[in-house]
Amino acid sequence: MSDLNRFRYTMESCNHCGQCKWILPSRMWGWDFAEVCPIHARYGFDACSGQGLLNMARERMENKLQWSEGMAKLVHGCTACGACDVNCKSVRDMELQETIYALRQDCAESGFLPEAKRRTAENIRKTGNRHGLPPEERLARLPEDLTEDENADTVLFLGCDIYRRPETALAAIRILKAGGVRFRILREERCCGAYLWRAGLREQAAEQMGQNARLFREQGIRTVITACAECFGSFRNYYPRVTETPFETKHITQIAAELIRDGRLRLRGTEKPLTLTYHDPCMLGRLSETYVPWEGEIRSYGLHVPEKHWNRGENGVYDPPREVLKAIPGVTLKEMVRYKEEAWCCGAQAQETDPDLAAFTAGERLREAAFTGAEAIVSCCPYCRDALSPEGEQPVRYLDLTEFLAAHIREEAEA
Amino acid sequence: MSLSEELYREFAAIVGEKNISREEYILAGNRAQTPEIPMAHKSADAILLPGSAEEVAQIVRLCNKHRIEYVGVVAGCIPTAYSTRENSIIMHFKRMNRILEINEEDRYAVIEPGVRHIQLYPEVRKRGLSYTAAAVGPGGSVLVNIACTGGDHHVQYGTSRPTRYLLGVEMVTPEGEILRTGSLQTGSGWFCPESPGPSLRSIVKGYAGNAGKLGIVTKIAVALDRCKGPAEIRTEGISPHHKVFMDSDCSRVYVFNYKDIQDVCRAMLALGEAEVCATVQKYFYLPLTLMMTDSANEFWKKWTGGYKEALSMPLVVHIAAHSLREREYEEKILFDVVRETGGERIPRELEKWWEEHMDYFMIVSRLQSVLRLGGSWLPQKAGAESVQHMCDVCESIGTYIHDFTDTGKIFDAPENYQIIPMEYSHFASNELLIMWDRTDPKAMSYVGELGAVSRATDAKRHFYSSSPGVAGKAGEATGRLYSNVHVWMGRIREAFDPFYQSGL
Amino acid sequence: MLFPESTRDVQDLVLEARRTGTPLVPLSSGPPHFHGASVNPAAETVCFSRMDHILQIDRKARYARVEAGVTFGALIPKMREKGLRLNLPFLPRANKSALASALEKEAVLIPKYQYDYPDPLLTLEVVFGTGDVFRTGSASGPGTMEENSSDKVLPWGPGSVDYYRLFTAAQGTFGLVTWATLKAEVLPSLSRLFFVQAEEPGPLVRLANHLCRERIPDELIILDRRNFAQAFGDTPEEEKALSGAAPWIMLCRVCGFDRYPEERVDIYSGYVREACAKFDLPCETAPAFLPCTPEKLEETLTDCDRREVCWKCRRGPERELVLLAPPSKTTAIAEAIRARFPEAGILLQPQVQGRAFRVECDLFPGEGEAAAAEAEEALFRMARELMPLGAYYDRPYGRLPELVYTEPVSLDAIRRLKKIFDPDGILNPGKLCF
Repeated sequence: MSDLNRFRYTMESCNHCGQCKWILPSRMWGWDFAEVCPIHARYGFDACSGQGLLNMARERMENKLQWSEGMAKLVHGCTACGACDVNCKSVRDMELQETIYALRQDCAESGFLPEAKRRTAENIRKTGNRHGLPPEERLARLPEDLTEDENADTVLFLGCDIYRRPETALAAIRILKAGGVRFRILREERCCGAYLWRAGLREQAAEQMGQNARLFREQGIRTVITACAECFGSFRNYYPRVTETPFETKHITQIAAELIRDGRLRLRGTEKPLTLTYHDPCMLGRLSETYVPWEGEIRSYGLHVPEKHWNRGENGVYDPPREVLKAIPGVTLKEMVRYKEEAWCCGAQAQETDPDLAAFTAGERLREAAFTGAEAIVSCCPYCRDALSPEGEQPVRYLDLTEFLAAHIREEAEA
Repeated sequence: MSLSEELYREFAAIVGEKNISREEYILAGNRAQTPEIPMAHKSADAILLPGSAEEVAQIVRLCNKHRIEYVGVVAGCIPTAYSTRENSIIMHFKRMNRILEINEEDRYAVIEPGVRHIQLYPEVRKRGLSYTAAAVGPGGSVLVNIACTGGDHHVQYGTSRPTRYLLGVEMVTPEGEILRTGSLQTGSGWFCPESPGPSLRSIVKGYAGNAGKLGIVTKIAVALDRCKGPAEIRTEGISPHHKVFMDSDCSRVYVFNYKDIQDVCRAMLALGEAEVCATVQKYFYLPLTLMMTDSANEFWKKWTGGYKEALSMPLVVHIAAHSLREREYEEKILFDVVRETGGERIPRELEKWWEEHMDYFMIVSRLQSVLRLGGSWLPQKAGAESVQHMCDVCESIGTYIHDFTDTGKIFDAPENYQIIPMEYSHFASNELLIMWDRTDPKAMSYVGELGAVSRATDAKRHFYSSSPGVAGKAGEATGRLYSNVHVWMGRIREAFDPFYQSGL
Repeated sequence: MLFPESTRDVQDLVLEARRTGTPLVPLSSGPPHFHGASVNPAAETVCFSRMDHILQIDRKARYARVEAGVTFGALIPKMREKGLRLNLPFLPRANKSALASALEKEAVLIPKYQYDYPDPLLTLEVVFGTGDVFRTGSASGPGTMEENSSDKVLPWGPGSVDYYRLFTAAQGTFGLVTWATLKAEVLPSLSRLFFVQAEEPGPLVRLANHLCRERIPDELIILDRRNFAQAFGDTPEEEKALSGAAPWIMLCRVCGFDRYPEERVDIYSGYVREACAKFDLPCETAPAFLPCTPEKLEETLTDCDRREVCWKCRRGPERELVLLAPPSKTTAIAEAIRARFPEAGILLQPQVQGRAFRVECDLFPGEGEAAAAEAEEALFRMARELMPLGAYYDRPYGRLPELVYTEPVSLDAIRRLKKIFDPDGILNPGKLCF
């Protein structure tokens, strides 16, 4: 039984105001770059938007609408990026993102999970990673001489990306070591489970998350560091829904920013002046706020009893990545029109179910990045990286922030 | 009844396969019941995304041929944006979203229906210009606000109602012809709305718009004013706590609270006669408190914690001068007038909110916050006349509304009306905004009761409290009192839409 | 000629005309009639001269409600008594109907008070060609005029049609207007008039556009030297002296009202001077060529033309072409007129906040029908030639309908409307496109 009923108030509150589709006035720029919802920008129908997904959820809840492959494709083509949710909540007390999650749960429970997603979920079940690769290959990508502090209560969570691109993890390790951070790596870590939660596979996600949480608990982990935005958002926002989280989660950019501020990480300049623009990954930005469960009653005129904590995207990780970039001599940072809580999604989450939509969404972001005059777009999420560095000539190149930072650490000898 | 395969293919041939759908999940996006409208909407049989006026004209002709209702939609936040019967289609103008021209010298912008306020406002502002953006929110259609619906707005004191800013119009008639009004008719450009001789502009929009019933407007020119403010608005912070920096010594905002609407009236008239201040309005206190808070719970704390009293009858004044000296001159008059009329500055911490958000477009974009209380709201009256008459109309609300607010039938905010002067207080618009508890099964009957009492009071006092409705049986009843306008409207409608396919 | 004295009379006339199929042509002002009240010899003229009551002047809501026969000459003093002024056309003759002037959309002098082309027309009462009486905007109801407690000033509607726009520039083809409410403004307590001279119209048009955009001036008009002298010279000597001005003159007035008027005039004068400096144009308050005091000229500018012979007729018969143009096209049009008619008088008046200019070309062909016909023909040719330059004829008098009623869809639409309000076609048949 899906959670749709829990969001009846949200579904019945929607007045079709359109805030979920368009950028907030505080970020407005002009005709271009005014949309925030990739599916709406691409397909144009009202149904293809946060509002439309709410309307579908309501009809599903009321058993007036049946699932179809097309509907499942749209619901999963939505990147669940959270832009609609932030915008809606700027003026409303509604849980749009949560309703989308519940709709996906309903989709899965109704047997309409798209085949590609089912396969990936199966990979995770079998191998503990999205790619379905043998777990033993995971640490094989790390250098043999890697030294860890076995007694540290801080873990560097490597995530599924280590299977495909170990460079990011290696860069994170270099940053931590250069900054003197004591940490360890857990051989038994499994996929963070974000993918499963977002796919609506609640039980499997809970199981997956429970395993990692248990592992952290057993190993005495109090701080989890990750260089992956997806894992970061998952620990902060998804885990509290299904398990206890007696650990703090930090993104590598938060650690790096602290190290730089404290003078523990010294940086060297770029070879030549470099203008960059930073792309906020959804799961590091607006979707990374710590989830606070709420059960209660919504009384007359919207009064929530007991008082509810609202995640509005305000407390995402926005400044540390920018601080890090600005700290590198030679870097000039230029903002895109849609940034921080209003960032346009990279589109990666649509890749499996709607590659055209994914390509459109990424193309929009690259175009927006190029419009700033930047030479490269920088971010710190493996899925953003995949989406924003497609094959072929692009208006700007992609740089991974963690790798870029690591490459500009000034070693003692240089100092 | 769904469209026949053959007819669906004909529609698809006009707009292209990608731009039409009859999938139930796509139709679901345009038939959901909204909390302020008590009835469920009909489902369209298909939704089309036309790309040009020519495509719209072809669709209209096909609808006429097969007696299919068509409804034009952009933002979809008004009741007329839904199908009203079986055998209907929706035309959604998302793809017709171009800003075709911004003419800085002649001060107009030519737009299609899909252009939203959040797109046009910054574009014209970059050029030192502005326009009368209605309080519909960022995603509202500029064209619909200005040409098709009501559209009062919050800076009309120093400007006018958007209807005055509608210039050249291109529309598809209910018979599927492309009609151009004003100077467009003779190929003389977009700048003038009036036809040669008796003007066809008359049927595009009166006090309210025709919501597509006398033609689907496909392009308009919007008149632009000089913007008294920076070309780009500097903001700080993350939603919902952004702040605005006006960066100008020439701009100031003040909020005064009054006890008597007749004193507010005197202040509005005196300021208008002196032609000072950029915006002046008596704002409604319930939305204002909602705009100043982040959640319904926070609202309740502040509403019951002093805001209701401190903002019971707020007069909001924005000064936007050309120079510091002019600002000081206007302030001098403002403070004199407020002193003479018995207004008092509201507490500094409350007034500061206005300072930190002072761009009217941005402020009114937050107006959707009124929906935080559950989404059940309805504007009553929503008319315009002289400032004095509007104040008299609003003063009379106090004679009956307490029967509803004191008994909990509607939200307890008896003074929740706004009066916005226009053209330096030549006229003013009014709006009584009521909210009700949507969880109360009797709420709609209370709302109906209030509406009836309100109308009866207005009728008894012969107030021109709103522009009369002219359609259906209700229109027939009220039309008689208003120069038989329903008869003339009916004849016009019949002359232009003999098949009534553009919706009831 | 028929002389109704009340709405009821007008209604009876229309019903009778309907019954007998007699065409009716309205006439509101005294002579001379520039645009020809009637060209239809079979028509009856409905002269409104006896409907000359000033029904109301309201200081608080700033309006005057007048019957069709009320002239500027009668109305202006009454308005001043109440501390109000009208947004006047440029030196309208004293016997001109104030209502007809608004219906004809004569160019007004103060663009900042004009938000829309029909402004200062607010509401009106009309007898349709069906014989029905109708009131527009907030005058429509509820109930009778006496019952309706509003100020009856709101122009729009009622409902979703702007009925009042059907009667502007309509030459009586849609209905006979019996009274109208006209917007009024506060009478200034202090003012200053600026004279800006230029060799060409272009710089003045640009300056006017800038000033209007910033909403600085009250009255603003650009005249060529000939019209300037003719309008303000009371005597041949004065006229001669005024002819010493530069070829183009802009008059720009700034005003103060009841509160701190000196300060306002001072601040706004500063803006005018700054703008002139920006456009490198000289700006004076008492230019040397003035044969009279600036105050006298200002007095003339802000009143109707009470002289025995109105200014336009002082050189004998006059023929004119009036058009609208956006600011960007006004200069080219003025230059084209000047090139074609070196002796013409020309007026350029910013309208509706300065978003358009009313351009008027005045020819003075001398006495005789042949000369007049030749001038009319020349103006018509000119009118045709100006269209590609952006000229727009929203008030299509004389032969101009030939140029403007060419587009079939709009023509069909306006004829459908005409059929509703004048089903038998008794109202001024043969005019416009009817």
